[in-house]
Amino acid sequence: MKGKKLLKKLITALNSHYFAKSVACCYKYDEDFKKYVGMLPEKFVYRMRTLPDGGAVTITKSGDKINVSSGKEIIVKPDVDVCFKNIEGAFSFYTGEKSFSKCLAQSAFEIYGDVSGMMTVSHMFDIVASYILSKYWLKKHNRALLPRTAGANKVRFFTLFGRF
Amino acid sequence: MSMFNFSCDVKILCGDHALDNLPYELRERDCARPLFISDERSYRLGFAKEVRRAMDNDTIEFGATYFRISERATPKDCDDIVNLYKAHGCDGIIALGGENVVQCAKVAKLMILQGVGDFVYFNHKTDMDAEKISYRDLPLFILPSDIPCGIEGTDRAMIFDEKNNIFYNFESVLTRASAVILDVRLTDIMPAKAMATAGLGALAMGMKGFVDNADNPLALAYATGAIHTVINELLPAMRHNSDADYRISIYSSIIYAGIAYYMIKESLLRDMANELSIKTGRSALQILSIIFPTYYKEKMNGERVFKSVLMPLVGEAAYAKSNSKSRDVVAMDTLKEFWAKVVALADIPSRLQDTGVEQSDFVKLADAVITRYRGNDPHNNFTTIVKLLEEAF
Amino acid sequence: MKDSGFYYEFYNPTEVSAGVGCLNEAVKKLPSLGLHNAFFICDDIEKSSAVDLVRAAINSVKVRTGAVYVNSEKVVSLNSLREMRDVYRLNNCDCIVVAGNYRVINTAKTLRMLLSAQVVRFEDVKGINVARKKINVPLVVIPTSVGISSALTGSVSVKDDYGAVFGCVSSLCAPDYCIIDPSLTSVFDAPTTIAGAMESFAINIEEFVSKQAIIHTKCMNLIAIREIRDNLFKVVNDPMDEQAVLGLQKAGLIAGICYSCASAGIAHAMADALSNLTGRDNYICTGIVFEACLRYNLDAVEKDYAQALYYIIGDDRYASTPEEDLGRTLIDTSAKMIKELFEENGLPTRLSQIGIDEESLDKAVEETMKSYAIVTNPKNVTKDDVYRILRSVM
Repeated sequence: MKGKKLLKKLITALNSHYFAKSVACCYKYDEDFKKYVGMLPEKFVYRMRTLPDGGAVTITKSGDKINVSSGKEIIVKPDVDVCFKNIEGAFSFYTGEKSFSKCLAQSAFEIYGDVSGMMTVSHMFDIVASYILSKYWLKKHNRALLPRTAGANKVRFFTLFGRF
Repeated sequence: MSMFNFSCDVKILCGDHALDNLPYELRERDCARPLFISDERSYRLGFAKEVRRAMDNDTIEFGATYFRISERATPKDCDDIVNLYKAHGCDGIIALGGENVVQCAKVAKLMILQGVGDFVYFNHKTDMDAEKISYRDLPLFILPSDIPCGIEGTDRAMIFDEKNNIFYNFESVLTRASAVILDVRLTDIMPAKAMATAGLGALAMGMKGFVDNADNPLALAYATGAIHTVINELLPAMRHNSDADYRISIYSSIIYAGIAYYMIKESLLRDMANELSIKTGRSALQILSIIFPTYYKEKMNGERVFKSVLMPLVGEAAYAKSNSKSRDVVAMDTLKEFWAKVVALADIPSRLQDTGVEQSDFVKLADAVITRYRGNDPHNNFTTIVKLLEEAF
Repeated sequence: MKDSGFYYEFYNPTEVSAGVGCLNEAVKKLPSLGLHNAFFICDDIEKSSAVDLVRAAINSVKVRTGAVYVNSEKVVSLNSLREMRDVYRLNNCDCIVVAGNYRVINTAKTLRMLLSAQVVRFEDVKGINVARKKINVPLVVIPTSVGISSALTGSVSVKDDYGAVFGCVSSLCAPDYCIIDPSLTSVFDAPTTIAGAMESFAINIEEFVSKQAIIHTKCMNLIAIREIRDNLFKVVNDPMDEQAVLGLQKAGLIAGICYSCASAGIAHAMADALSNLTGRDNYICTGIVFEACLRYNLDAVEKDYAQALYYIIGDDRYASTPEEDLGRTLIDTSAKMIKELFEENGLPTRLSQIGIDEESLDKAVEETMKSYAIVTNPKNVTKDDVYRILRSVM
């Protein structure tokens, strides 16, 4: 079972990396996503940690661009810092089994900082899920497929092979 | 002046991966060296391993472990736990198992907080409120791995000292758990018989909690929820006993029904169940599943609350259509019908004679119950108890 | 059956004592909670005799009121909190006792969190589940109004030094002890009481249909809805009917307890946003948007509405309503009740009456989307949905 937990950690790390890329990709192609980013304050920094000492996805808004990175490093103090309580919570989020809002409703993480900024990010993540997860997977886990303004395959392709 | 009190400062974590939150909950309460206690059954079935796995890669280590709690909780178990706790400098308790483990853990917590080193201290103090109030808290996590007994979320604990034939009934906030964690991984497939007994026990506690907490909306809601769950999910839980969702539903209904049931200060039913449990060696839930219909029929007096209990039994639509004058009778019939269906399906004992009690024991039993009973209802007297026992026989 | 991945946490750390005239009996428990020198917070010491009653009661059990602080801010500011913290420490207080409406209770909850977590800056506890208990600071809450649903929740709102309002959720915000005595609501203000009761009603319905509702919270909500049905009009007709006021307070209490598990829904999210924008009380804003929100969620939770309807209209009407109309009847009945009571008491029923126009609509939508409460709404809420709902009540 130790191996199973390790495997889950590896999958989570890998998924979080591609998740970060897909956020950047959605910003490039999806109009609704851009609107939500517009709602965030200038120089807004959002960080999502897998575990207190684990890897993290950091999203930074600067001007009309967003920078997304995955890894442990922190350059500035995040406005919103989300930390999962345990690896299971992170695993079910990054594999698309649970939406961000469901994780939030089930108290799957601690949130440091401004809660309202986090809700905007939650809507952004729902859009990302509508692109990168298949319809079957969304339906299986009772998740909504939001309207998309760009092609899903295009976003998936650039998530895998694009550079952001 | 009518006033109600409600207090249930116990966090309930229930559902998928609930166990994985244990390290977080421990950290929240600054608990770095918990004492892990369990019984042989839970250890053999691998549940203790599941708990260890959930703690994997975490900074928390068990201060000590103790997996030898007897099948029926004894004062010696409590003493052992307290000694181990002190010897290893622990700062919390994780209790995994059934009724025996829960009772021991709760009493051990009380002993540690009160600075009692030996259970002998309680000798001949059979009804104990907290004597010294302690502001220190001792995190206690209850992880039911067997069918819960109903006291998990309450301020109660009971220990029977077989050697000296003394029943200790503790009622104190110091026995309160910090959290109860119900996870599918800690439960095993239950035979239909065990599920039926537990479900009917929960229904009995829920019904009693409903009737006696009519003025307390919070306890009433706990009881209503438990009745509703048992009525709707017990039969499927027995038929599909490998389905963990049903199992967890019934288990959680026992915990919630227990909260409402133990909120009643004095109860003849509870005293009878405890006394019969000591006599027969069966759990109080099992006894409740046998004597409750008789008790309920005897106590039903046409008051409004006996009519409104029909609501959780049949649902809003059927309730609205029923005759408002005879709802108590319909409720009794519905209850009887449901009881008979479950008893027939699981083939469980439905009379006291099936449990090994003999008619010649009734006087002694009734005497013990009336000594224990502290309520002031004049109808709850020796004759009533004997009559109830005879009818349930 | 439940969704896969179903999980819930239910926690109600507050001990409750409630009853008509129970104050003097209930306060006897305070010394056993370790209270000796109380920091007493109230909303309006000059006008309210309830405050005097509470002070006399706690003094009678040998709990001193080491310091008294009056606060009537709608949302407590960081400045006030700093001031209160200094007064608390200067007077060596060991607990907080608060008597008043939901605003002052919110203030006391925030102060308790700061003192208990022993933090210097509020930023250190900003967020969800961030504050950790370092020392024990018992908090006793004695509400003196009907709208008490927020008194028992673990969430608070704070205004920072720049005037921005932000929320914070922690179990340290929830009180240790709550005493509900309707005889303390002596200064009867009909519009406030009615709007407060309607807010409890709305929150209970939203919690009942919430995505995170469990059977036990649902049962609590139904009991609360029945209490409102039984007592609201009694209070309207006879404001001195203390048993009826207690019924309404019980409903508010239940809404607060269930909030930790079930949260609320879109109406609560909108009311929060509108309240912050207009400065009007939450319960007035809830009354305005509630019907539209009920209609919005109808297709997702029609069965739940049908079940809740029984507790509003009772036996005869329920039995004679066709099954397919039950959900819709709940909306119509609730809407009629709110409209009549609000109009009779001169309360606003349209957004335009509280100063929301087309220009401020965008801001209202934006703020609603940022609210934590929409997470558990039975339908996934989009910006367009919020626009549509708000436009329909302009």
